[in-house]
Amino acid sequence: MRAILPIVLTLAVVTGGCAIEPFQKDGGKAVGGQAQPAQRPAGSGPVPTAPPPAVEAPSPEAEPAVEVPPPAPPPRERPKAAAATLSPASKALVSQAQAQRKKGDLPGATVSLDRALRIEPNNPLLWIEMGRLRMDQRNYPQAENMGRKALAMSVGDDRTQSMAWQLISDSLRARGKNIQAQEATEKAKTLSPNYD
Amino acid sequence: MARSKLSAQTRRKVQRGFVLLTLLLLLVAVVGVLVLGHRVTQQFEGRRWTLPARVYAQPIELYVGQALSAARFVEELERLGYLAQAAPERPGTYRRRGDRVDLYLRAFRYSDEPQAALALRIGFSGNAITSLTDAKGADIPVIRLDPLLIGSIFPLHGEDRIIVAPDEVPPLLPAALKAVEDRKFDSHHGVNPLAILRAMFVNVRAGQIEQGGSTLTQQLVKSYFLDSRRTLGRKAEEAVMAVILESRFEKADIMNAYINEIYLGQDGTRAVHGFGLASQFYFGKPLAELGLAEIATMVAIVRGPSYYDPRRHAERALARRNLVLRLLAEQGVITDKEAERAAAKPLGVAAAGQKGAVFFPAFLDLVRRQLRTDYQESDLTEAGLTVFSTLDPLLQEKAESALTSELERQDKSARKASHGLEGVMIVTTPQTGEVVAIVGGRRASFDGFNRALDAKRPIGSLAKPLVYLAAFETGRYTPASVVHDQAVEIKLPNGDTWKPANFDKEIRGDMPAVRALTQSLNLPTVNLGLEVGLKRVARTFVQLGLDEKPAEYPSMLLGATNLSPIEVARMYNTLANGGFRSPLRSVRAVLAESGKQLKAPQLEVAEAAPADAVYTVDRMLVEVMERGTGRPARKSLPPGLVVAGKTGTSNDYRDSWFSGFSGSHLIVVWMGHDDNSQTGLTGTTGALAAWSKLMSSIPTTSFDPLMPESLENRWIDYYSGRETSPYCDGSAVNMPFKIGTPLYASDVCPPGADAGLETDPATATEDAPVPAQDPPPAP
Repeated sequence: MRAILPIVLTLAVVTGGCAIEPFQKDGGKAVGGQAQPAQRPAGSGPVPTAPPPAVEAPSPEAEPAVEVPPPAPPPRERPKAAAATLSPASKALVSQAQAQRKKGDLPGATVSLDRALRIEPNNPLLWIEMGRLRMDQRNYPQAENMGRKALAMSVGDDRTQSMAWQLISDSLRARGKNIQAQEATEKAKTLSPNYD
Repeated sequence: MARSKLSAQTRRKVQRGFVLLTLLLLLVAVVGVLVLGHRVTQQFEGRRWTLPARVYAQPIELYVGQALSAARFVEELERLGYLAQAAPERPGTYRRRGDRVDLYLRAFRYSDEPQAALALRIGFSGNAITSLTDAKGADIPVIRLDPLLIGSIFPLHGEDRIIVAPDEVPPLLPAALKAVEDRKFDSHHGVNPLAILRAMFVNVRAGQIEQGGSTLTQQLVKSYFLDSRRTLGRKAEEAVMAVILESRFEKADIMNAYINEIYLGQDGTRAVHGFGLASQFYFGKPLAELGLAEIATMVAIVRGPSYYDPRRHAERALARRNLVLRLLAEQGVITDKEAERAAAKPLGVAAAGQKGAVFFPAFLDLVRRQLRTDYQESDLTEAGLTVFSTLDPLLQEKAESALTSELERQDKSARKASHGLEGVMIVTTPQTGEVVAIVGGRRASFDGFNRALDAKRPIGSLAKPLVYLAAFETGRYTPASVVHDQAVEIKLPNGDTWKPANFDKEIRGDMPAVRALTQSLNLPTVNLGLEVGLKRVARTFVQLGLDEKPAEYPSMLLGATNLSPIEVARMYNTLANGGFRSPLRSVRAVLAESGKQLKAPQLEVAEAAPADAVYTVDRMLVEVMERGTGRPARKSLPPGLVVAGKTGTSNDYRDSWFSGFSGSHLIVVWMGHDDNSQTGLTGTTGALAAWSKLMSSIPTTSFDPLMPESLENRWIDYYSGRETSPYCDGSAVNMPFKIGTPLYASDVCPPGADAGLETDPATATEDAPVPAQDPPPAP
C-alpha cells in the first residue's frame, strides 16, 4: 500500500497543474521605425491672386538644364474612331462569360471577364460586358461606373459610346433615377440612331 | 485495552481513507492521461489535416498574339515541372522543335471551371505566339497554362508552411534525423530512457550538448505546445503524450508530421516551421533539391534554431553541421569520403535573391493581409483553400533582377553614401488595379520587414503632380497658367520660418505651369499650391486613393508626407487610369476544398478625379519624360514607347523615388537606406535607372489615352506660356486645354505661323533663338 503512494503521487504530478495551451502565435506587426522628418505646423501664405497675364519676356537665365527636343506630333485628337472590336481571345472569353451568366454562374463569369480584361485592359467593350455582369449582380453603382469608364475609353467611337450610355441608363433606372436614365437613353439614341 | 481498540478502529479508518484517496488519485490520473491523449491527438490530426491555403500566381494565358517567345515559354514550362520528352504523351510533358512546342497540358481545377488535360500545339514567331491548336489541328482561341504555386500560407496566423509529402522528402533527411536525434526511432514507443541516460553521459563528457535525450516524437509534441518552461512537470507531460501518439499513429506518419512541423527559424515576427519552408528560407530551393551538406545544416539547426542560426552564428552552425556529417559517417548512413567532401563546403546559406527560387514573401504578405481584411475569418480557417493571386512571375523575376542589378551598380559607385542601399519595386496593371509584382528589398526572397507595404518615407516631388491636379480641378488653371518661381517665406506658428528653395538655388521668375512641373521646380509649385489652398491639395491625395488626408502643412506641397510605396502606387494608379480609382488587388479568387468559390472582392472602379484634369496632368508627366527630370530614361526605353512619370527626391537626399507608367503598367520604385541616412541620389540618379531597366525589359504598350471630348490640343511656348506655332523654334510644347480657352499669343512666333519664319537674333525677345526647322510631319 505504501508503495502505491509514490506512484500515485507521480501520476498526480503528471496530470495535475498547469493547463497545456497550444502555442499561440499572433501575427505581431513588424516594427516600422523610420525617422520622421520634423513636421511644420500650418502657417499663413501669401494672399491668393488671380494669375497675371503671361509675360512676353521671362527673365533671362542660364542655359536650360535639359536640351529641348523638336516638337513631337500632337496625340490623336478626337478622330471619328472605328468601332471597337474584340480580339479572338477576348471574344471567346466573353462568349464563355455570357454562357456562364445565363446559367447563373456569376462568379464564373467574373473570372472569364477578368481574364479578358487582362488580355485587353483598354477595350471598352469588355468594360461594358463587365458592367452588364454587375447589373446581374445587382451592383448598380459599379455598373454605372464601368459604363462611364467605357465612355472615357471610346471617345469618338459612337457605336461603343451608345452601348455605354445604354448601360448607364439601365443602371440608373434600376435605382429609380428615372429622369437621369431617360437622359442617358437619349444620349444612347443620339449616338446610334438605329439603337433600340 | 481501550487504546488498542481505538487504534484498530482508527487504523481501519485510515486504511479505508488511503484506499479511497488512492482510487481517487488513480481516477484523476486516468482522466489526466485521457485528456492529454485527446489533446495531443487533436493537435496531431489537426495539423495533419489542416492544410494551409495554396497560393498560385496568375496562369499564363495562351492565345495568338500573346507576347511570349518559344525560349521564354520553355523556361516557364520547366519552372512548372513539365518534362521534356521525345513524344509528349502524358500530362506534364512537352517537346520543342525550333519555333514549335508540343505540349500536354496538365489538368487543373480553376475557380471557375476545371481544365481537363489536353494536348496542344503552339507555334511561335519572334516574340509572339502565332498559332495555337489542339492535337487535331482545331484552333484554340485562348487557354490557360497551369499556374505556378508560389506559397502555402495559413491566412490567419503567421505560421506558414510549404507542406512536403513523403515522396518529396529526400531519404537522406529522415535518415539524418534518426542518426543525430533519435537512433532508436524505429523501435521505441515514444520515449527512450536509455537515450536519456546516454545523452547525459555523452554531453557531460563532451562538455557541450551533443545529443538530446528526447525522441523525435517528444520533440514533435514539444513543438505542438511550444512553451519555454522546461519544468519536470512539462517534460513528464510530453513523455506521456509521446507514448500516446506512438500507440495511435504509424512511425511514417510521425516522421512526416515532424518534418512538416518542427520549428527551424525565426524571421521577424514570422516563424519558420517545417523543412519545406526552411529549405526556401535558408537556401532558396525546394527541399527535394538540397544536397548532403545542406540537409546536414538543417538537421544541425534542429537542436537550436537561434543558437545555430546559420546567418547570425555561422561558425557554430558550420561546426555542428560537420558534427552531423561525422555522425552520419560513423553510423554508415554516408561514406567517410562523402562526409569529408560535404564538410569542406561552405554553409551556402542564401544571401541575395536566388534565381529560380519560387518564393515571393513580400507579395505573399500582401495576399495574406488582403485575405484577412476581405474575407470572412470562418472561411479562412478552412483547410485546403486555393488562392488565385494576381502575381505575374515573369514580371516579378524581371523586377527583382532590375532592382538588384541597379542596387549593386550603386554599390560600385565612387559615392560611399550610395553603397548598401535598399529598394522597393511595385508593379500594377493600372486599368484593373492588379498588383503583378512586389519586390520588398534587395534580397527579394528574404522574408523580413515588408518595405513595400510598411516603410513610410517622405515622397518628395512625387507630391507635385497632385498640386497641379488640384489646380486644374478648380477650372482656373491650365498648363499655360503662369506660376511664380520666386522666393517664399512662411512664418509658422511655432516661430520658425519655412523658406524653401529650388534644387539649384536659382530663381527664374514667371513661367508656365508645364515647365514648372516638368523641371520639378519647388518654388513655383509652392506658390501655386498656396494659391490653390492646402485643403484642396490635401483632398486630392484622398481622391486619388490615400486613406487619410496628409497633414496640411505647406511642406506637404513638396512631399514632406510619409507614405509607403504601396500607397504611392495606389495614388499613381488612379493617375495612370484616367482618374478612375481602383483598389489594388492581389487576390482574384479563392476556392474552397469543396469546389465552392468564396465570395471575393470584385474589380471596382470609381471616378475619383475629373477626366480632363487628370488627362492634362498626365500629358505634363509625359513631358517630364520627354524633356524634364525623367529624360535620362529615354536612352534605355524602346524608341517610340511613350511613358509618363515623376521623379521624387526627399529632403537631404534620403529617399530616391520614381513613379511612372506606360499604357499597361505602373512601376513605383523607391531606394534609400533603412536607417534613413543620406543616399547622395536624386530620383533621377537613383530610382529612375531601375525603373527604366524594368520598363524596357517587359512587353508593354505606349501611354496613349483618348483625349476627353472637352479638351483640344494647342501649342504653347515652354518658357513664356504664350500660344505659338511649332514651326518656328524648338521650344513649343503641345498641351491640352479646355476648348475655347483664351491664350495670349506669341508675337515672335504667332500660332498658325508657317515654316520659314526666321527669328532675327537682333530683335528676338524670347529665349535662345534657334534656326527655322523643317516642319514636323503632318499628324
